[in-house]
Amino acid sequence: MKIQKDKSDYLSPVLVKELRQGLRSKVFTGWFLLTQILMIGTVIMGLIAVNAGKSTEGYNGLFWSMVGLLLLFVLPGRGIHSISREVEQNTMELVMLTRLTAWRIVFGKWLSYGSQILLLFSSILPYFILRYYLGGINLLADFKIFAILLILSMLFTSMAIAQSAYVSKTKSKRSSSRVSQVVGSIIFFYFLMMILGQMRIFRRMPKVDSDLILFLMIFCPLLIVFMLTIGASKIAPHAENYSARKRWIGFAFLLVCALLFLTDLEKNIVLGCTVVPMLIIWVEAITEDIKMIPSISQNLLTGNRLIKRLRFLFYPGWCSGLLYFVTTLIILQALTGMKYPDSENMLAHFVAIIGTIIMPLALVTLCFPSKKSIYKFYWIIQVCVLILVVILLAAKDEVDSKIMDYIYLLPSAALFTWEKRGMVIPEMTMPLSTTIICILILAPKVKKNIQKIREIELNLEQNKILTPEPLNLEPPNP
Amino acid sequence: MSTPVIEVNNLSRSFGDVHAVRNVSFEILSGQVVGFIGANGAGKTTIMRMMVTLDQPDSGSIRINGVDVVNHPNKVRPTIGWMPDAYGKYDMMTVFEYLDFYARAFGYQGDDRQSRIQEIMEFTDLSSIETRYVDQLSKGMGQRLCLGRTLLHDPDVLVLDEPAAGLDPKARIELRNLIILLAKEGKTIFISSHILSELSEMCDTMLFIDNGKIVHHGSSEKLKRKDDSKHIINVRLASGLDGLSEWVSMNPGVSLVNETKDGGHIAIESDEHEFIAATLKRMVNDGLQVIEFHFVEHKLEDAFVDIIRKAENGNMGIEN
Repeated sequence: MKIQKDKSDYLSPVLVKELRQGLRSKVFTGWFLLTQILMIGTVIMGLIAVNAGKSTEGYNGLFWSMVGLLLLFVLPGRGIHSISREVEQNTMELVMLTRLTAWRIVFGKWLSYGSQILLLFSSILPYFILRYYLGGINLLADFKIFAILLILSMLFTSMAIAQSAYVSKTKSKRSSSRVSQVVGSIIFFYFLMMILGQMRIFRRMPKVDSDLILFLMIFCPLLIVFMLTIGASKIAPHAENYSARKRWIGFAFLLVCALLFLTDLEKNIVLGCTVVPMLIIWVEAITEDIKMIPSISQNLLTGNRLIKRLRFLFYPGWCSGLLYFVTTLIILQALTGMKYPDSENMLAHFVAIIGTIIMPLALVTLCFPSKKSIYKFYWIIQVCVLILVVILLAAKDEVDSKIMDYIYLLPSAALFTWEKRGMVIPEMTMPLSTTIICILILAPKVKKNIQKIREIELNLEQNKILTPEPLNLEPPNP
Repeated sequence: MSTPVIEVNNLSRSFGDVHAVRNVSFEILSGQVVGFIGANGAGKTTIMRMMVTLDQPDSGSIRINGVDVVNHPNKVRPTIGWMPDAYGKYDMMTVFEYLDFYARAFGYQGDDRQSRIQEIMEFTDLSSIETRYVDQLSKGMGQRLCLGRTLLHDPDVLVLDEPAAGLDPKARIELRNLIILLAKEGKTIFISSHILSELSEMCDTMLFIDNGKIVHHGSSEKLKRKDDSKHIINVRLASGLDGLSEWVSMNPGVSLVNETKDGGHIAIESDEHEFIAATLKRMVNDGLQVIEFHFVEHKLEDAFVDIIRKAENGNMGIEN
């Protein structure tokens, strides 16, 4: 019998639920009313300026500040608790037990916030048109800026949702996870602003340059998918293997980077847009818990030939994450080499990056070999090392020169100084030796992990259950 | 013969240095109602969460309807209904909208969704409060709503964690009646509770856990009897004690356990109900003026304490 659908059946259940809740919430209503009041205020100010025969430049600045504040900070900020609140209220687990996948939950939330942004955005449009009658407005350029702000608002919302997934399931650890959420968000936001600053978006607002269009058209959608995948990976069951999805997105970033390097676009921007998400993917990959789940092996073994060959890069856990990191770093270095053909510095850079990223991992596995979850320890060590390096480099004139001689044993010190003056060969031996020691510490563990994976794969092959059964996703029969 | 719906094999789970679950194994047959009993921190919720795919074992396996929960969580999830001890409340959402969201999430569409929600609201008696916000419901109403959500997708297996905790007596009776109805429908129900007397009325099988280990797995009928080989029956006579001890001495297989002011407790050494019925009939036919007789059951609380004590002495009672 054919089911009589209603129109809302075509929407995501999460979208329907979030819109019901979101549009009733006091926060949305409050901001909606406040926006109207502020917009009316700016229009009145504009009218006063026109009547007094003054320039409308100040009024325009105020208008854009309001719109920017609303679209770039206030509305995306609502996503900050989108997942963490559900985890804390014990509702996320209940939703996860339905037929909704982690991706559909996170995507539904993003769509809901996006719809609310569009709603508020459309309520601003009449005031935007009113400005035209006050004069001094290039309507087309303003529309472009509006569109840019809207897309960035969507991107920032996905970032807020992603960071809200970094919530601890245990109540006692929630405050510390919130602190790390905020610190992580600030760091990422800082990097993103650096990239946008390079594009002159905030320096010359009305002028929309090609870099910005490139960022919006190519990197923004990829970044949004990446952010939502990060959010989904935090709530998904381990059997869904989101590690592989994140790492495929990393390859997508590298592919886009390679293609754009072939064009005349500013390579620093392209590199910046690639390196920032790659850093997140790398750190995520090398701090993941190792989960040996046969169904993951089964999926990777039954995938196409490419997936089968590259499968050791896509297993969940820091061991395969390490292989992925080295592989993608080599690719990125090769791409960068097209712009920086200075081979000596290239090698120094390569060694310093590997050392900086893997040194805390080596220390964690050496000092806490039985720790299953290394993420927290990795970050503590990494942040401490970075702070130490920054302090020593800042105060190098006051510090004993003998201590400073050994600072390059910390590869991050080499990474910081390399940018300024390039690296001389004797200095390079220190980060190189640290990096080699780290690799020697980690290599046996990676080898052991691969052996375990091979054992699981052999078991699967011998039992010949490599044809995955299709999931029964038909609607239930009431 | 019923097939095992839930198969737990050598399950272990630790949180840091705390071993929450140690090498636990058991099987639950289709259509059974199983009471899962243990002190706070014994490992009940940890095992239940692993059963419903919300947590992963360090070692061992769990199969629901033959499907491994770690390998195929997405296949297992549609077949189980999970009711946690603290159900999550959404703000700004009515009872109907709450059920509507979950019905959508379970894949119901259009008219089917509407009729399923109505069915569930009638079953759980929520129809009269469908427009009320879920964060304004009483604990009892909330638990009924939570049970309604658990039943929306018509799962074969229900895993209920302390469903009656914090409920007043009326709400507790309502919830118990709903669970008894579900048991009659043939659902496999795995239920944990601290209120053991209630479990004894609902459950076919009892599973006792202590310190992460299963210390007893057996039928609740047998648990209520101290000794498997005999039944204790309280006999009240109009004539008081007169004639009872004499009658007992003349009937083989029957003994007097203790005397009461108007009769006594007799032990009938048989597990067969036909033999017990014949013995009691003979008692009446032999001229004893019987007013009442009923089985004397071992309290579940006492059984639990006994079993835990035995387990501490290294004596476990697993029937399988």
